[in-house]
Parts: sequence; structure tokens; C-alpha cells
Amino acid sequence: MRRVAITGLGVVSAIGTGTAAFFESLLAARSGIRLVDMAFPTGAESILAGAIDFDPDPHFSRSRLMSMDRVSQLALVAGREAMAQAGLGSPAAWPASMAPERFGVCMGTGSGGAGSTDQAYTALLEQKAARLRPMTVVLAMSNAIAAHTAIEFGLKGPSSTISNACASSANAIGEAFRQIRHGYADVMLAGGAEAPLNRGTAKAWQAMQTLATPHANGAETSCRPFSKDRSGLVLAEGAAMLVLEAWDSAKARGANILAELVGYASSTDAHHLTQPEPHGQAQAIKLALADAGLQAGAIGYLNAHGTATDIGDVVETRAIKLAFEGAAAHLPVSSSKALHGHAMGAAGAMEFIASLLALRAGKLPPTAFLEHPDPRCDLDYIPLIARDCPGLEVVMSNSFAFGGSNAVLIAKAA
Amino acid sequence: MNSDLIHLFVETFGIKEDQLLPAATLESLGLDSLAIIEFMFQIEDKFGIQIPDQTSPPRTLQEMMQLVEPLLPAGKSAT
Repeated sequence: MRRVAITGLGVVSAIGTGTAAFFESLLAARSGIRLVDMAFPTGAESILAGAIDFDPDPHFSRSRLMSMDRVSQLALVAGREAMAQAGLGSPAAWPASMAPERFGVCMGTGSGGAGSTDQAYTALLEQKAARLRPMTVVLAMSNAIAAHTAIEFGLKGPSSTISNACASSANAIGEAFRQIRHGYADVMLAGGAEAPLNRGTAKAWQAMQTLATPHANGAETSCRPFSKDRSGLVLAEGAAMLVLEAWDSAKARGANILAELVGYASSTDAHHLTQPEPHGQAQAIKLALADAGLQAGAIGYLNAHGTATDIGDVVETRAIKLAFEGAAAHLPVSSSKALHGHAMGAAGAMEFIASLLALRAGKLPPTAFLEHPDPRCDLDYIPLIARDCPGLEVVMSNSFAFGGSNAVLIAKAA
Repeated sequence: MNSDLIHLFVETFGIKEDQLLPAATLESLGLDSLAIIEFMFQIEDKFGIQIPDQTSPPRTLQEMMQLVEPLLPAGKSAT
């Protein structure tokens, strides 16, 4: 099996566009969550959201935007950053040995171009339109993200889209990792994107009764993972992308290797549509450790799924204890969702990038707003303030989803 | 060229009016086949007309104008 290098990272999030701004916000515990007016037809109503001030015009021509939902726009901006960092932004910069047919894409998204679907139904049912925009299908299709990235960069290798709700992009990275490991591709652009801040999606989530309510200390402090005063998750938009490469060819072309992707596993609870189950989650953690050939004690930081729902936080804490056993007590864990919100299909990639930036900087992002820990969540959750962690060698990122899909990624310092 | 159509083109694609020469290919203006179809729908909605189905879509700005202008009632401007 081939080793896999990570050579590029890109992120667009509510706490910053670009990995530098993103990580700076994480360390400073600067929240991107706010109340957003969703213009529901029933009247003024705001929801808490990790919304991005994003103007697509500087990034894309108007004619191109006609066929790009917001989810693809966010994906491409993150993809461009990752490809530029890898030194592969333009095919002219690619080494002669890098064939487009060996360069693939694997993307994760929960609901793809849901905003375009929402607009289509608005036109049809509210505005009584007789017909829809010709681009409706290609705007909304879930694999549009993969298609746009492949077209943008000329990637002709394997292409796939994974929709495993909130684990989607963690699975996408893991499956891309396997494509390279097992020799089906040499380079993969992998990650995910989500743009759920449209009326239909927001109302659907509201009906699940899992969304946070504004906290007395300010809307920006409303996502409180592992906290006694948590009230639920916060919907967020965003995209996060990684360039993965076969280790030897990355070395041979003199690429700057940011970290090594060493372990991935997925599992399924087969238990309940929305209730997580600790044994299924623990199984994914244990299998990822085995995949990496590591003992639990080797993990120096874990970016938790940590959505700030009561059941989610408690079950994940149990799963970590089941998988890490005695090592759990000494494991620094944090949830960065307190700051960027829950980016759904993009969350896995965004949080794996948070873990990689922590690994490279030797600094652990905190769990923001964790002033009153839930006694049932009794691990070291790095409350409130970032922590120096010199000599950090291995990091893990958990992603768990509605539907019972679990995905875990592990990376090692290069 | 019809000024209402030119105006809609500028408004939709953010392209400067002085670039809109009749012989300019739509491709050179950054429009792929999907954007052309989308724009034709916009023209239909804006002017309340129906452009007959084309076996091959217009290639240049002039061809697009030739297709659309005869369908516009005289003196009718965009709504």
C-alpha cells in the first residue's frame, strides 16, 4: 500500500476564508455565528447560522455563475486555495509525470445545491412560474461540486460524490485516500461543501428540533458543545478541500508535504436514523487506529464531532472512552463547531483541516464557550482557551452523521 | 442592435457595452452553451416573447439579435 501525503489545504468558513484566517479565528475563539434573517414567507424570523459574507463576483464570471449554485462556488474557492498551496493551481505548473487521468476528485455534500432546489420550488409554487430555469438540474445535482472542480482544474481521474449527511466530506477524504493508497489514482482533490442557508432547508432543520436558540451572552456564543447550557446545533455553510498525493511522487516533485494521512475508517450504527450510538462510533475510531497502525495513546489531539446536541455530546464522550479506554483521560479533545457552526457535508473536511493546522502549529483550538461543563461530558475538552502543544505528532478527527454513518481520519506530522 | 437587448446582456453578464460587437462570438464573451440557453429564457421572460426552438443555438451576438429582434413588437421595451 502506498503512503499518502497532504500537500494542499483550502477552506471557506463563517470564521474566515483561507486556512490562515480560519486557524487564527479558531485559536482566538472568534465566533462566526450570528442571527440571520431568512425572509420566511410567514414574516420576519431569524435563525442562528454560521453564514459567510461571500461575494461570488470577484471569483467567477457572471456567465459561469449561471450554472453554479452557492455550494459549488464555495467549493471552488476552497479548491483553488488547496491547489495553489500544493503548487498545482494551473496544469502548466504540473510536473510532466502528473497525468490528468491519474488525478481524481472525491467530494462530500449533504444536500448539494439545495438553495437552487429551494428557488425552483419558490418559482413554481409561490410565484406560479410556468417553467423553471434551464440550469435547475445542473445547479442542484449533488455531484455538481465534483464536476465543477474537475472542469476547473482539468482532473480526469476517478470522480465520486459521497452523501453521508454530516460525515460526507470525512468519508470523501477517506475514500480518496484509499484511491491513492491502492493505486487507482496518484493525486486526489478531496473535501466537501454545503450551503444549507435557504428557507426550505432551514425550516426542515428547525422541525427536527435540534437547532440552538440564542444564548443570553450573545448570539455568537450560542453553540456550546459539551456544555451544560447547550441548546443545540447551529447550521453553517462552508467548504473545505485537501490535495492528497502519493507520498513518493509528492517527494519526487519536491512538494511541501504538510502532513501524512495515515488512517481512515468508517462504520455504521444500524441503530436509529437520528440517535447516535456509542459502539458504532467507537468501532470507527478503533478501526481508524488499526488502519494507521497506532495505539490510542499515540493520538495527541482529537477534533470531536461535538455538535452541541445533548445526545450527540454525551454519546461521543462515551464512544471516545470506549475506544481510547485508559488513554481517554489524557486526550485533549475540542469541538470547533462552537465557532464555525455545523457545516454539515463540509464539516468533516473543515474539522480535519482544523486538526491538521493544529498539528502543524503545535497549538490546539479550544472548545469555545465551555464555561459550564456537562458533568456527563468529563473529558479534557480544552475549555475556552487555545493550548500550546509542542511536539504534537498525531491528530484525529471524528465525524458522525444522521443515518448512523461514522467516519474517522488520522494524520501524522510529516 | 436593439438597445434593450444590449442592456439586458450587459446587466446579466457584467460585460462592458463596448465589447459587444455584432461579430463577437458568444463563446469569446464567456458564454458556454448552457449560459446561452439560460439567457434565451431570460429574454423570453423579460420581453414576454417565445423564441422558436433552434436546431443550433446562435453563435454570435449578431445571430442572437437576428433571432430575437423580429419577435420584439415595435417600440416595446423591456418590462
